[in-house]
Amino acid sequence: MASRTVALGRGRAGGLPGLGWLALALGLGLLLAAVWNVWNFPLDGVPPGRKGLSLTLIVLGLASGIYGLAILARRMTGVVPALLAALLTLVAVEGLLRAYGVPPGLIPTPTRVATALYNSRTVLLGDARVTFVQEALLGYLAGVGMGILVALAAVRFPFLERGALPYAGLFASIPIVALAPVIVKAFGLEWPSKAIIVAITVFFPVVVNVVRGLQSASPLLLDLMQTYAVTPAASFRLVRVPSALPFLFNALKIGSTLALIGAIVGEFFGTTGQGLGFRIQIEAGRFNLDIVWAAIVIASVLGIAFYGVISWLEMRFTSWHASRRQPG
Amino acid sequence: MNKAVLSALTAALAASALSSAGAANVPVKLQLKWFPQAQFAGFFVAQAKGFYKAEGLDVTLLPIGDQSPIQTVATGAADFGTTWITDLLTARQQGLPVVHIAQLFQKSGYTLVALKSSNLTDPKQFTGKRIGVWPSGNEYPAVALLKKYGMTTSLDSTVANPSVQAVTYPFDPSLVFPDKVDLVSAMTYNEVDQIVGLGYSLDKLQVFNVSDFGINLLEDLMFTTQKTLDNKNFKNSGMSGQEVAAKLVRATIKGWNYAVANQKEAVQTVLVNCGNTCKGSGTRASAAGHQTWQMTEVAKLYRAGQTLKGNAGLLDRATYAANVKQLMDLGILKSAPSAGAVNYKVWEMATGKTAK
Amino acid sequence: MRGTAQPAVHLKDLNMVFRGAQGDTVALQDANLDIAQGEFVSLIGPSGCGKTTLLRLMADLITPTGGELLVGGKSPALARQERAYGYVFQSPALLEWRTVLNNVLLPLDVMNTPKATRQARAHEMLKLVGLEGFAGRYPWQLSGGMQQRVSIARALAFDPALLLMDEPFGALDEITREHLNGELLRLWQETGKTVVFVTHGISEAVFLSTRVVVMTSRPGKIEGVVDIDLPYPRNVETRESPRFFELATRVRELLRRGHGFDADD
Ligand SMILES: Nc1ncnc2c1ncn2[C@@H]1O[C@H](COP(=O)(O)OP(=O)(O)OP(=O)(O)O)[C@@H](O)[C@H]1O
Ligand SMILES: [Mg+2]
Repeated sequence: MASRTVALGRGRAGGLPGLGWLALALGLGLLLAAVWNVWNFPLDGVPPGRKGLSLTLIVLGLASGIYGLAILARRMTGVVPALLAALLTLVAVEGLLRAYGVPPGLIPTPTRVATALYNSRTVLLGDARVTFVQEALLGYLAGVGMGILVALAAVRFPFLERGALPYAGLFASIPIVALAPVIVKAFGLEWPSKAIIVAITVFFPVVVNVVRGLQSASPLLLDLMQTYAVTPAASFRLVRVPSALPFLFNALKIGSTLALIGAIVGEFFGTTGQGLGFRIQIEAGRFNLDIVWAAIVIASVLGIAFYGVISWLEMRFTSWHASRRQPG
Repeated sequence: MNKAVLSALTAALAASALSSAGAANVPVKLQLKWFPQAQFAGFFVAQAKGFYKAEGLDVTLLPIGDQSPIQTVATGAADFGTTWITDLLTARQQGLPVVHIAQLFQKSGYTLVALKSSNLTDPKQFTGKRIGVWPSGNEYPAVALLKKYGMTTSLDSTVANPSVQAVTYPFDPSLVFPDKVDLVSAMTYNEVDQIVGLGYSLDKLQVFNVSDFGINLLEDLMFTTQKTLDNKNFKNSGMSGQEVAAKLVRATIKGWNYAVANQKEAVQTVLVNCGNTCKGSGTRASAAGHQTWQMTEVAKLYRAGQTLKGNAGLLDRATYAANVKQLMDLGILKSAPSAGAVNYKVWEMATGKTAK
Repeated sequence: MRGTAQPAVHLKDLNMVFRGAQGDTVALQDANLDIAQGEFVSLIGPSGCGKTTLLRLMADLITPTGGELLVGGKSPALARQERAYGYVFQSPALLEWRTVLNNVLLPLDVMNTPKATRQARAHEMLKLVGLEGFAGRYPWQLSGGMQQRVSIARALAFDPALLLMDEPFGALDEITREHLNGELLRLWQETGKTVVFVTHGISEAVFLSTRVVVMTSRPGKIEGVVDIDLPYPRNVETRESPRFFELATRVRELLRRGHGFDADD
């Protein structure tokens, strides 16, 4: 409320969403004009006059667009302002790359990446299936499953926890680039070796977090269960498991980002002819950076979606937890 | 009187300052294609024997891992570089204005290695086999060989049922050979010896030199950017980029000639530079032994083609044309490179000869 | 109303020593006390004198290091297995992932009471502590005092014959506390439960109890017991009667003695 008053005070029209949209549209228009002005010239053949004009248009367009966005962002929440900002940035980048004649073998323009994304969609989707579904997802599920089982064992048999858990932390800090070649050599070049790399990288955070989570159960609540004379199993289910959930989800989120990285980096250390990491590596060698970037875009989208799903589950299952509470 | 003495003194001081500035060496950064090893012996010798200094150049040799030297040169992080011809031509195709200025190795050292016990004696028998290759643009010689014999690989994403299962692996052959693949890519001067180091002596190995089968995609060459060549005043040295390039090529060829003629000494020079990469990425114990092998093998690649005709460093036009044709047949090049891809003037300036 | 032959709680020379790295703590020394069925006994004493320890011993959450302790004529372990008591902890001890209603339902669920009556019973308990409108909330959406009332509702839900309450109203404002004092007293009278009630409030102890047990610290000991002979029904007037003040003064004197403050008077 207060910020709105300030915004209105700054200028009579300053708070009107109509002006925001107008400025944004104007900015976008200027940026598009900047791109159009230097469209389709050979890389070293952009006339200096056109280059200068485009650069001016880009500066003006960005200024106007950002001004518009700033007004709109006060009234909008959610992803819309972020998406609009991304759109502005992409158009500006397109204009800059074309104005300066940056070779696509160095940095491809967003439209080239989009074109590559479309033209190579069958290949890239096949790659995504291998990397995400087979390597990352299966590895993730296996790693999480194993991690939970080992954590349960460690809590059940304290000697395991004392004897093995410190080493788990140590293992977890082995960089994936050191791990990957060994695993690929041991388990072969096909997707399972990558799934194993993913499983191992996901495994350790799950073990450490779940053990800590199970132990985080309040002693008072465990006493309460004692007063009800319930079985240890029921006490575990009613108190320890829910207490561990926020910790588990924390590990699940860490793991969701590690999984895709693990799969892609794993492919760098030997693979058969499919997968996003393979595609990035082979096409980078051919200077087809548009395809490389298209693969990166797909990997990012999958990564964000994966993280989003886990966050949604977390929200659903641990909305009660302090770190998740909505203010008010 | 006093005034005259003073002004004379100032003039003398200024002159000496100027001349010393003129004598200062021009800093030049040269990007190698890998970590220091005998593959680059000529460069290290030229540096150690002062051949670069004699040309007025202060050369820094930069190592690199599993990336293309093209990027560092194209972005200006290095002034010159050495790489393979496919790397250069594919980069040009994607708009990177890199230019070939000298061809050091006249012959390809790329091989595919199998165990003799696998009974592979002819590339025709490769159908249905598994082949391990390096990615990042280093897979073309193998792909070209297979193509020549009418085979397709799984590296080509448009092929539904490839006749050869290709797998990519990082540069250490022990990761895949011989348990995971039937054939593995190996350079005569490096991985072949590493495979020997794994315990498979040469008589147990079947080595297919791709150059023996008409695939002679040229390797180590020198290149720079068009911008550097067009530079009228390279790093304020008063020399043009083209002149600096010519001096660099001249000193480098001198270094290579010396290295090839004095291999023992060249290996010692390399050993000083290569530190813990001397052993290669395999299991071989002796650094000196491996670098000696490597020196012997790269000398063979250097002493071939135009070098034998007294034209070391010259890109053979016929071989270049054949390379371009092969790359176009493979679909790796969509169109023939423009004439600007190769600059013969630098070599001509460096040697005082005419490139025929 | 006073008990039958079998005491609800029986202590004879009860000792509790905590062994620790920095030496032993005598939390309870030679405690002797009999609490008859249907009594309302308050434990009062300075912080650290062993009140909570004594409740935990009765609840079989810890085992005495010496002496005799019977709950309902049985060993505390057996009493616990038979779910003979309800325990209200010093802090609310709610399960933060369960709603208020589900927290109150918890003992009913784990004790497999008839499903049909569970919901009604839980709502009834919430009404008793004045929280019927908060059934669907989560504990963190409640104030500390409201949380403590939920924990009282939870302890009452399965209708145990013995209530062990550790400063249940400590976190409440004066008016709410007096209101709940009245409710607790009414409940106790209606149901004939035995209540062992820990408090720091002298007037609360006197108002509620049939007897007040005054404890001293270091080592934790029972200093004395004050019989509260105030008539029923106890109400606002009770708190203002001269007898009330006499009894409160008696308790206060015992407490001071325990604190060793006599010399200053
Ligand atoms: N588990 C334990 N281990 C060691 N010492 C303990 C333990 N529990 C209690 N004590 C000690 O026993 C003594 C009595 O503690 P207790 O909690 O019974 O006091 P209290 O009368 O309930 O105090 P308060 O009014 O502050 O709640 C204290 O000195 C305390 O430090
Ligand atoms: Mg206490």
